Amino acid sequence: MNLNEAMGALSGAKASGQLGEMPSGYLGVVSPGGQAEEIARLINQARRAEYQRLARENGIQLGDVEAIAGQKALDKTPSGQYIQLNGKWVRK
Amino acid sequence: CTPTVQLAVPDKPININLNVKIQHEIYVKVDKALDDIIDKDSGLF
Amino acid sequence: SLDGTLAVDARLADIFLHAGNPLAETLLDWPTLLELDKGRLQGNAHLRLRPGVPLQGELELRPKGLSGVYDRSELGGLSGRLQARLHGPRLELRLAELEVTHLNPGLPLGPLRLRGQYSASLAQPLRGQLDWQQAELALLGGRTWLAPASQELSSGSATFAVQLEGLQLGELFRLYPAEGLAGQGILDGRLPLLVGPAGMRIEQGRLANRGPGVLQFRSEKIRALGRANPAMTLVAEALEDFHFGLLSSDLGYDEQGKLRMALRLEGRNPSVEKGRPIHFNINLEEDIPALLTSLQLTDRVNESIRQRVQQSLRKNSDAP
Repeated sequence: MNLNEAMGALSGAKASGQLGEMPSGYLGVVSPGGQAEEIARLINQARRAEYQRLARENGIQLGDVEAIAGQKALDKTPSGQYIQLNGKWVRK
Repeated sequence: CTPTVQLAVPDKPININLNVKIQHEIYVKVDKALDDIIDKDSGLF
Repeated sequence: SLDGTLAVDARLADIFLHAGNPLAETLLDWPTLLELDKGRLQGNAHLRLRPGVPLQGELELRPKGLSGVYDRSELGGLSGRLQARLHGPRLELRLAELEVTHLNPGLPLGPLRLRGQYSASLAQPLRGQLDWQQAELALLGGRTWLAPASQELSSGSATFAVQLEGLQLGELFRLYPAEGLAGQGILDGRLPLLVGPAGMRIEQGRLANRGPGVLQFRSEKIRALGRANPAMTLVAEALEDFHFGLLSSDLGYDEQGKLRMALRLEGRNPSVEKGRPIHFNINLEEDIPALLTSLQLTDRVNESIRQRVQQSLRKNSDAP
């Protein structure tokens, strides 16, 4: 699977409750199976690259970028999909 | 005598408590950049 | 000479351009962050070495119109007379006069004027006695200064009663990196500054307005805040044109650069609630390093500081 395929499969995996957003700014596997882990790995890799670019360009800590992104991802997760709150998966 | 209408300006002060934490421009720029990534279908979110 | 005294008199070269210089190895520990690109430095040094008698030496430096960058602050027009005397175990530094016409760590400051002396034993150079006759810095249309006094540094920390007078709100808002902030008013204050091994902090600082003033906060961000949150609507409207009679604050500042203010603001906006008096209690928290960094990153400060800031920020963000 390449990144493009992972991107294509992402929304389906989220909608079906396999993957969810975490406060760390990265995707987490809610229920393993199928290609969930693989999609998460590829997407998270691409996200990390984006976060590093933003941190470098604005001269702030990588962790700050991840934290802000995580907060946004949780806020923007549509209801019915999963988000992780203090370590537990919760359906929004 | 001419009747004078006293417009009673309500003098009881309105009390407002505020907590303000100032975040600096750098974070605002990053905030906006992340919005772009998340909103426009970057395929990452 | 016959009795073995070695007396050395040296006149320093007139023009002195770069920080890597012989002077750096003498009495003064030359600050590596200091780059000087203009101005003249005159000076002379006198060393006396006599067997069995502790080293004696005097060094006098007369900078004239030096300018350059120190750490992250532009500085210009540095002139004065600095004397260092070493006899045996005692070291004395004297600032007969020092003026820096302008400094810019992100916001324009200056002139800075210092006159004072410091004496300490070589064994404990940082725990000596500091006396000053003048310590004054002009900023934001007003000035901050220390009344002449002396301070024993033997405990490794010291308290300075910093005074603040005539600070112009209009100037502060003009320089502050946020658009839409304007106002008039004058602030005076007292800021007890504690300097210790962990750095600087201010405890029980106090600011208060001198006479009435106006706050005019008009920016899309503030209006959006007002629309987004009903409780903020009144705040946003009031601060569009807020005529205050009282603006005072308790103030604290810690070694990490966190400024905390408990502001009391009393006044009214003639066109809000028919001019009904509004009293604000505002707990304000500002991050001074972030403020200065964001100021330095904007084009107001010269290019070399901007690169230095970006390098140092990048160095931190590359740390694992």
